Amino acid sequence: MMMSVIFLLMITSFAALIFLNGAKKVVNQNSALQIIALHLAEEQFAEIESLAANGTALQNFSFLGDPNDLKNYYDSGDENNSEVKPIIFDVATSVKGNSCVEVKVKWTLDGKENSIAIEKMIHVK
Amino acid sequence: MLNNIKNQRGFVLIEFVIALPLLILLIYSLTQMIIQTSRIIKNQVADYVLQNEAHEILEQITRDARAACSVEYAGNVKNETIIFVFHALTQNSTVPTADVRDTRRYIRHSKNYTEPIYHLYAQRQQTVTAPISGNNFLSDTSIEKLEFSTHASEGIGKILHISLEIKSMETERKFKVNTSVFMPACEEIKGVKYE
Repeated sequence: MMMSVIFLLMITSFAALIFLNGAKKVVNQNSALQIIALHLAEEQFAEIESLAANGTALQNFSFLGDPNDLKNYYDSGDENNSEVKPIIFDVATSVKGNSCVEVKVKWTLDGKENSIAIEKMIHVK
Repeated sequence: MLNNIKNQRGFVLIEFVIALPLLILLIYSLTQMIIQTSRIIKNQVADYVLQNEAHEILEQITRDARAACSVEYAGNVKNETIIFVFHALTQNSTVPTADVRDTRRYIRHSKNYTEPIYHLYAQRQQTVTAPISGNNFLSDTSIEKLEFSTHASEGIGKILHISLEIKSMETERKFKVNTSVFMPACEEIKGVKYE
């Protein structure tokens, strides 16, 4: 009886250990990259706002900010795998209607494509 | 009497030899499980603090930049200090409102010189307030890089570019964010070099 309790406890704790090892891998790696993408979109909006204030008509602009900002990295912080993955962001703009601008930021992490899209109303002076 | 002694069942040496390593293994695996769980929780919290602080720093600076009427940036090595000047309201009717100015200065500063951990401080009229980043009970962070610049091309102006690199002191994980802000109310940008 005693032995079976011990064995059962052992099996349960080892199973939990295996699951906890896996838990590290299911952490949302994109949360950090989403913040970077959000601020990249803000960078693009700032440039478009500046152009609009100078009277430039809204159009499907390519990335107007610092091109170096499109290159970033993902630091997993994993002790066993301290690899820092380079991430390239792609920023695209599309104009919807008269003054609605949509900025879409795309990036690829571990072969999977991710994106965020933000819309803003910008008035041309 | 002899029969009674024979019927008393206890642990014999061989049973003890088998049970002891099993018990040690059990305690070891349970301890490992607890350590791993606490490490995962600690890392998750440190990640959250890191991302939240980076986002909050950029939000505060961009909010001030949009309202500023004058911007100046400086620093010992790089442009790591920024001063925003705002129009302020006054009770004194003899002084025009446009002449009353309020300033807010953001400084990347370290109090610890032996092992520097940089935090972001905000000064209002030379009065240092509590740090905006770091000193978090859950996890500390250090600002590795905070740079300000402006760029202009084809008539684009009044744009402040902010580059921030922040590190978690808990996980050693780094996080770099760049953004720009358009400053519609800005009348003057000091120290700006247009390319």
